[in-house]
Amino acid sequence: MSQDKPRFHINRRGLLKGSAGVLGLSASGANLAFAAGPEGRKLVVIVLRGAMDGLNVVVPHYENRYYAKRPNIAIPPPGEPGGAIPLMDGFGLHPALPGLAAMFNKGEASFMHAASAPYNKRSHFDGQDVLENGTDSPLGTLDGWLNRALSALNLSPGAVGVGQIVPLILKGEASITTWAPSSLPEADPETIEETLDLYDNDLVLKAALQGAVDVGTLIGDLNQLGSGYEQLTRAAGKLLAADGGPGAAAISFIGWDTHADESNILSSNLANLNTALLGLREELGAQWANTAVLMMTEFGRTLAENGTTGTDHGVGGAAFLMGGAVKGGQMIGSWPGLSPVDLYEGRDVFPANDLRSLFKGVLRDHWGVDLAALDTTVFPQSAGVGPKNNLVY
Amino acid sequence: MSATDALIAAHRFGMGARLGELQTITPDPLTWLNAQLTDVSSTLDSYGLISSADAVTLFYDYQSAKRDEEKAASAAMGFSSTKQSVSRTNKQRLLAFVRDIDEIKSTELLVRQSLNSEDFISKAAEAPDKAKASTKSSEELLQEIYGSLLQDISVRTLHATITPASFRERLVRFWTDHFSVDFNKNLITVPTAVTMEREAIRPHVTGKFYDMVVAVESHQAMLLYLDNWTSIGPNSWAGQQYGYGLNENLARETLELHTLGVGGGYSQADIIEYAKAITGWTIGNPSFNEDTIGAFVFQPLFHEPGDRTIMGKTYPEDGQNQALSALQDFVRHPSTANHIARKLAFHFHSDTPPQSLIDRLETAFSDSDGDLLQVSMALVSAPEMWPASGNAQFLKLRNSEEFLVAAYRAFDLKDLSTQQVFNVFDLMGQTPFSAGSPAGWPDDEASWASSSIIAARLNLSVLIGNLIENAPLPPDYASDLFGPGLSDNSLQILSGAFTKAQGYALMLMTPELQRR
Repeated sequence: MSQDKPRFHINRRGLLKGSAGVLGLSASGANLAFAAGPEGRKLVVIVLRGAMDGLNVVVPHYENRYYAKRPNIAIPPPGEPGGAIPLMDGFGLHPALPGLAAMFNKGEASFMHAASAPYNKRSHFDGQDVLENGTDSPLGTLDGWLNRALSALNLSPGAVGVGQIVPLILKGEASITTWAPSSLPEADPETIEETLDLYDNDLVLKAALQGAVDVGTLIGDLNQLGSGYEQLTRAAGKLLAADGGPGAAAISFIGWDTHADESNILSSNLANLNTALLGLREELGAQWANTAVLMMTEFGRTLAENGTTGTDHGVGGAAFLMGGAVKGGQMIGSWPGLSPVDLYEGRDVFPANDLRSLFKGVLRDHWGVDLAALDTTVFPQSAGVGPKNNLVY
Repeated sequence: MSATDALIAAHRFGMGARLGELQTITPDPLTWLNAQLTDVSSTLDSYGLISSADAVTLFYDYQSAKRDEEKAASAAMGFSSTKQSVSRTNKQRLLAFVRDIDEIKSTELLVRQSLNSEDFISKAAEAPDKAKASTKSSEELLQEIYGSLLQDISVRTLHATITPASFRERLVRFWTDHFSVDFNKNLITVPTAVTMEREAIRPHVTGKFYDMVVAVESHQAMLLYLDNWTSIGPNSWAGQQYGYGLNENLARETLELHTLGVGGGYSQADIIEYAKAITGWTIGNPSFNEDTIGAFVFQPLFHEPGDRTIMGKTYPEDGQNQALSALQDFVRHPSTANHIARKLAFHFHSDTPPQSLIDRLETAFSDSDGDLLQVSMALVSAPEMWPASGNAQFLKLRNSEEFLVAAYRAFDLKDLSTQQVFNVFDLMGQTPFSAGSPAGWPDDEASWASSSIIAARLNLSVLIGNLIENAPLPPDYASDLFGPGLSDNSLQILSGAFTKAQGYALMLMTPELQRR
């Protein structure tokens, strides 16, 4: 449910100090049963739940209509107090995202505006389901496209879902693991050891608990990982970077539904997001060069601000591609503009760019997923939506 | 009968043994199980939980209070308020209905935010017990809405903890999950989702499957969760007036999940036809049917006129009865018997049930015209469920709710607060009525044997172990709960526990309790 409600963590400090030998852990930790990713390439997917306001994050500051329709909450143009950080072509980034702007300007991040999954009904849950199941309908499949992409590879590199519940995007045939921080006090090392012994004849339970111990060992002291979004991305980064770590991670951040008081909420969320992304890069270390990070939300928000200095559910939104493996500095896809005839139903950014074209481009060129599989199994009946080219090295 | 049979009755069929229960069951496990099928007295009726109609009304009261407060606020700022017309045309009613729906959709995130606040949950947990004020604020009503959710979850968990009829409780949960609804959809589903089990599942758990299906498909929780209450036939009066259209969700899941099953012999065209047949199955609301707010109603203004052809059979226009006739045929379709038999075998036996068990249950379903008493009795008497003494293996991994109820039963933990019950479910990754999918919770080992879940169970078990006082020593306790099922390995480890508290924690983590 939330990154603010930590869930499970077995205290590793005690283990490392006293019982590592007993539990058969090497000092470097990992006993994870993952195959290496395709050529060691890592993929991180971050879902921003609640519908992030794309227009106030990737800001079209050249558009007068953007300022006319948002008298109280627009981000000023670059150069003005609180102004956007310049990107290119009349777009700027929200000032709370300096780290992400630096990635863009350094060639390690690209953005897609006016992006949408094939869904335009403005319901969060249905929108998230479509975003994650990779079809054009909320109940199109009961598994997720990232899992089906793992299954499409000859040898699944494995994936970790950060959170207690497996997110829809990771549900399916391919085996995945989960990790979530804990709010329960942690079991003592002796009891963990005894419990592992209980499973001498139950190898499934033994593997599950041993996996928790191993993952916990890799992640180490949670208190060193910051809190909130940052704790989750740093944990994911540590797991991905470990020897034998998984090839993919899926993370969710909630709290983007800014119907009221958007300026404050968004600034605070984005500052946390900025820290989290920089933390992810730091934990990945040398693996950052092999990593692509996809970050998206279920839909965008209305062009016009509402009566409570917020925005309501819209259609076209913003998506983000980051990482050392990314050909950055691009605004991907087309920009429909904000004039009344160009808006969707006269109110929302037109969904000019199908998110599946972004996902497909990354899966094909980063992981080598076969295009036929992308068109049929990973994103069913989507042959009409071609992959974007030239997204990653 | 043997002690092994008692073990199977209590754990494989039931929800886990209470202290001393195995001894009670041992003389006649079959009678113990069958008596639970014919004795229908195990209900939640005495707990004073609210009805679905009251739950829906509670939401509308909240919506109305919220609007009044906003109006009062804008009046105070000098804005004039518009007057409500007393007698409205159907068109005005439709517009009001649509406006309400739009507002309801926008409550989705309120649901998430509210449940992320411990402070709010603690207030809500107490809300239903407060004295009824004549005029309530929207904040008070919001607390009451969540309060009814929390109370229901707490009460059904308490009931499962103390009931001697734990097999019946497992059947109830099986069927509730078969017809899964999720309270998280929006604010109107928060108090309503939990009522369906009491109103549509429990009364029919050993009755006719058709009656259960009709009760579920016309229940407010299902109509809300799968959107049928706003599904409007394109050629109905409302469809002609306004572009609000057909919603296929309930029709699709009725065929795919509730009756025939995937690949059961229906097509997309059949789904659309059935979706048209159930247009008009909706809920009394303040815009239409002011006298029946919250009740199931058939609304002819929404109903797609005409005959419907589903899987080759034509159902003449007959209002509400048109879809009832179709449902009767869905229930009698051979695919349905097979679908239900497979799910039951998978749930009660293992992830790899023997085909002979599936066949047996399928035959019982078909031969009895979907009589769930006969089907449940066939399950009880199936030899596949009763391996010979000495071969009793715990095959099925308990899901998190089953683990918690088994732990609560083992230690008679009936004094947890409403808030504690809710929080623990959340920590274990399985809050009731929130599977997040109309397909319900996963029922396979791989889904529950995840590292984060097993570790969460261990951390919780350590906490519980520290709560236990004045109880037999852990090895003796485990022998009482598992009888001949307690393995030498578990017995040895429990005997070597450093403290009693550790021993109780380990007992909860044994394969014997983790599995059933």
